[in-house]
Amino acid sequence: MKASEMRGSLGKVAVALGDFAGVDRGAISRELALIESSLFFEEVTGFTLSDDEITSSNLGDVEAMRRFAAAKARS
Amino acid sequence: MCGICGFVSSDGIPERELVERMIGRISHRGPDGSGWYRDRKAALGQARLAIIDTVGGAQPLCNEDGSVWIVFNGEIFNYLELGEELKSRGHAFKTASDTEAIVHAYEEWGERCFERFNGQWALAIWDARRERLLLSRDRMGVRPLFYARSRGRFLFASEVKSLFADASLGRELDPVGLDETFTFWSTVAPQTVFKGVYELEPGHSLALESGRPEKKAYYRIAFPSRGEEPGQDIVENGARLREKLVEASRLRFLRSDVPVGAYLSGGIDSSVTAAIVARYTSAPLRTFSLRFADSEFDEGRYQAEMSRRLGTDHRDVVVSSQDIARVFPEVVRHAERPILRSAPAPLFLLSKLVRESGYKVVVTGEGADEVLGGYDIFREAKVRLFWARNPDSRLRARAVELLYPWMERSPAAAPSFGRAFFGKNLDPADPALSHRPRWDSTSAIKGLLRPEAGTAGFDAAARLVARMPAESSSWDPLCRAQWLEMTTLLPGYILASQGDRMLMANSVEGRFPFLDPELIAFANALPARHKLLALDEKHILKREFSDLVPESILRRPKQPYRSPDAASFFCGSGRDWIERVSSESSLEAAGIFEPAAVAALFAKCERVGGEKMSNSDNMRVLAVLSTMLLHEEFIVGDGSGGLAETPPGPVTVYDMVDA
Repeated sequence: MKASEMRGSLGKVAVALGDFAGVDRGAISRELALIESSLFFEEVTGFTLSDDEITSSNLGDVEAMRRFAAAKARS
Repeated sequence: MCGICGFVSSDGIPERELVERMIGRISHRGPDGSGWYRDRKAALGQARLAIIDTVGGAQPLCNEDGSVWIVFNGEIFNYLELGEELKSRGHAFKTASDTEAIVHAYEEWGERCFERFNGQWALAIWDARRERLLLSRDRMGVRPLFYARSRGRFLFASEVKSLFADASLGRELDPVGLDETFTFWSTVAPQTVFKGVYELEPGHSLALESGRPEKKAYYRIAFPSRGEEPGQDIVENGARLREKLVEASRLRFLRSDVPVGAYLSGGIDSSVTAAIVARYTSAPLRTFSLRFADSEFDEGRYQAEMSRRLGTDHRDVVVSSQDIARVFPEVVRHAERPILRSAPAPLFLLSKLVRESGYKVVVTGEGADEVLGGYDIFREAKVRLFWARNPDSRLRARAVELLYPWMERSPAAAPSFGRAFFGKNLDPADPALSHRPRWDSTSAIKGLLRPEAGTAGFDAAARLVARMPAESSSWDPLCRAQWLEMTTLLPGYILASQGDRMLMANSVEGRFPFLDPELIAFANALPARHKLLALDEKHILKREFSDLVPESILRRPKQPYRSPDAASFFCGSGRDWIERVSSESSLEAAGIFEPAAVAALFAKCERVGGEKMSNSDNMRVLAVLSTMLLHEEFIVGDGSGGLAETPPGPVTVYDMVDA
């Protein structure tokens, strides 16, 4: 997705990202949890992340994802 | 629930002996009585399992002036509401059955009537004024309906064995049907494994007038474009899902004049439907479960927990590998197609328990995985698509490890195998990306085929992909995977070999709340993430019904229903038939499989007792055994199973020829 395409629907994306709070991920490692977060983030936002963007600060929780999505949309 | 059959003759008066033989061959579908109608053009037959209006609902049944006749298999759950509307429009009812509502609905709305039905059906309407036969099948393919042409006849029936009562109909396996089965696990209607025999597609009707058949779709599986789903709020969507599932379960539990039981598998879906019945109706609940002697497959702990919680009168049957081998020939005779898993056999034994317990209707959780995104294949597809966006990514390749943590030989335990398996055919533009690993691994069976039984140049997957709706390119990838699953495995295997055929073999009707048309329409319109949220399958169902189902069941890792496959056939039981159908002479005579390749496969199984075989080898063993049994029963034999071919009594006859 191009950043300009996502900016218009940022509110909708923020709502969709909020659904991730309900995911029960059981006992998986921190790294796998991050991979699952990035999978969800890409699904909702349409962005494709590079490996070095798959970090806790970008994807650690819903609020981090929202901030990261907004930053990606601005860039 | 019943069995139906009949034919239109263009070559003389329909023979009563033939329609009686056709009914006799499906008497297991309706042991409570039978009936037939005949005029100078057509014959209709029916074997009845009496569930609604048990006294007055005998078939065939007609309209007010006797010009429109029907035989019907299934249930129209909204028949009371339809009946009220039809009465207000001047139709006079003679019975309290749902069958009669169909006749009047057809008079009132013609073929558009099917759009109004909430139910599961296969039916035939003979409009004697127009000399027109109309066949129809429910939206998702719960009830089966086959047709064929023989010399001077257009035949139809609930089961192929009934068609084969007409000795002039050729009996031959169709290489295209076998190819589809050895790709998708089932044929895709109208294709069957028998040459010249067709299955009416789900959601379709077929009209035969002046000898010409014309098919129409009254329903198509559809999804909104991605991002255009009408409701985005998961709380609101959850509440609406609850309303719809409660109503669908109530309809299926309460609209019956005989007691209705429920299956409890130990998983979420059947727990939810049983819990709804317990919470929202005052009827006593009898539950039935399948257990396995082998603890690897047994879910008894969860079944017991749920039945205790609901306070049900609970019964179970414990199935061993020996049991599976013992009943397998009968299972294949009822399935009427090759089966690549032994899983239908235990379900055959479960429906036997239901019948012996005095029940003939059960509610089950089938359909939830297809409708609400519960299958592992959907999770796999999401991981593979994620990986496909950057195949060189080290992190993305590790996503495969999120799959199957419970499996002994999981990709997590053997990451290189998992990556090699799931990393094949990673083309994000492929509309069937989700299903390629399954189709590829299943297709390994074809390596056992003799060249003359193969289909050089035929590509089953390409034919199916070409049938995908043009607009599917705008759907979410999950929805495309759901479409493929709802078009192949659901009608061809889950609802057939594991569903209708195993239930009706013991005269038991299954009812499926998750396949309610309103619920499906609602679920299809959900944002995909509400169904499969990240990798959490059936997320919205678990979220919404957490008050009715214990945490231990809601949070347990998904365990697909499985039973011992190859191991069942190398444990000493069933030796007589296994040696017979897999002998070199039988294989040579059938001309389907290469005897040397089968001998090598079976020798490998013998060495390990069928244990710890690969998924491909398990499927190959099952494919050989079931196909050879099918050949023995329907190609060498005449499909009668050597059983009596007399219609079950009492017999209702409307003979307009010898009136």
